[in-house]
Amino acid sequence: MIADFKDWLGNFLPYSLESWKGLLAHYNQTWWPYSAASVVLAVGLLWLVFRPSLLHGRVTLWLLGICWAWVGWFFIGDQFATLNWSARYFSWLFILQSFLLIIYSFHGEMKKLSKKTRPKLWSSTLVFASMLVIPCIQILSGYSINQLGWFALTPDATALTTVTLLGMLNFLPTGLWIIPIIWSLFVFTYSWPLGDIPGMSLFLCIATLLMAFKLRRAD
Amino acid sequence: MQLNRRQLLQLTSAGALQGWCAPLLAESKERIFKPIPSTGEEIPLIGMGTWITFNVGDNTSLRDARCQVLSRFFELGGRMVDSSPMYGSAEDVLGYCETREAAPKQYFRTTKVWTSSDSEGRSQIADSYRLWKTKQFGLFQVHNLVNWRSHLPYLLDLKAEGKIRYVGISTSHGRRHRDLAHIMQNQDIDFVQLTYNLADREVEERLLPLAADKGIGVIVNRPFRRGGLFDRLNGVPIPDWAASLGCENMAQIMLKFIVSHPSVTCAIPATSQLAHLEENMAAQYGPMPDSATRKEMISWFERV
Repeated sequence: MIADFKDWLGNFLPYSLESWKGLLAHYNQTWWPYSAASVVLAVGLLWLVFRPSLLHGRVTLWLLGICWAWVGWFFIGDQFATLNWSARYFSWLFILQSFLLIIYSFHGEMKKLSKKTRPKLWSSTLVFASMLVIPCIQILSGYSINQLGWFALTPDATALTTVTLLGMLNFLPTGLWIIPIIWSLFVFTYSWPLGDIPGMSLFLCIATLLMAFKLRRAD
Repeated sequence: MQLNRRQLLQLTSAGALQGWCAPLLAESKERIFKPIPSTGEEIPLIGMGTWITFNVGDNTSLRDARCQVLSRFFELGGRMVDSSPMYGSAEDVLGYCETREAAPKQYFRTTKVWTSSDSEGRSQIADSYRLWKTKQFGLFQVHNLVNWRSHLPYLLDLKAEGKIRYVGISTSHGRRHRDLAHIMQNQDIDFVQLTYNLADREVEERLLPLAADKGIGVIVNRPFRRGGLFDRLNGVPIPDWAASLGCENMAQIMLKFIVSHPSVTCAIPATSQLAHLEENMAAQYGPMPDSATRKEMISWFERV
């Protein structure tokens, strides 16, 4: 029955794993070397999360907002939608998420940021890991270096890192994790029939992180 | 009684002349063509689909690889290439291949309109002409019957203007067969596209006889169930009778079963592999199964 459901899902999938990897390779090639700016952004975010304050918290959300807008417009809208017509709706969802991040940066809870958050080395380590976990799974699954999906450039690593960063800041309002969860479910529904392990892993990673952060908050 | 060409072809497709035609069809070792019922124009039994396989986005190396497949398809005598706006970048990739001279100037270009909006349908059709870089399509179909009441009259207008040679309706996965039968009964269409293979034979009951009766050509999609039939036949030895049909592999067995149905005009398997393309194209040669062999093929398939 599960195999039948997987086969049924596959009937709606208009592209192959080869095309998906080809898209990542083409996208990475198109934006190189400008995509190196994402490394600077990643280092900047790590620095900010290690020194939480109201200003740093706000800047973190603004930078994440820029990442979501970029990914929504240039990756999903401009590239992924050419393979998968249904992805164009997610382009607008990503742009909506970028607005939400900016709006939430003025949320009252942000003022408690420095009091609530106790920065530790493991915080930055977890954020750093969340930036790398998707590319690492991709390498283990047979992706080549030019096909890897990086934080701030591609959706999966960006969604995962966003949830991690917000969790580290102890600031996870429902309005900010709904779209990452929807995206990870969407990725799962097309990755499963494709047999794409990195895509299938995203939902598991995001759901686990969310549960861990929510449990920690409950304590 | 004097029969016009269409009536003659209808009789042939319906099997009224099967006793006369069958030995010719069964014993031929030449490449076999079938007539399009509405005009008598002959086309090869094997065309090419582009679902998934030609949707490779902007990646140049994948696009060039697909151009090689397309070029080989024409070298092997192929004529009909089928696509749809639903297939992502497939139409764009076909246009790219034309600029790389992977296709002849004239071939049987087949695409679809697929939207519930009237105005979007017009712009989608215009986009197809732009993407394929052509002024005339061989066949334009309403995809999955979506908004067919609006799109079909427009396509018939384009046919009258000479911008389309044939008009049709497509479906797949066995969906909306009752509606399709209604359209076949009441609309002036040249082709239907539907799913038919060794596992999915529902169309034998109603739609294939109706196509023969109404003089409508039949294009068969999903001949291998998106590869699922190969999985099912994995490890199964090629049956003894396959050699008498000139079949060297499962692809040829499955394709010959489909195109030997009297109502079927052609099948459109999709592939991105040159080796698979060559296997598929070989199915248009050699002897074809007669009705007794077709029954044996079904029986064999159900056993395995």
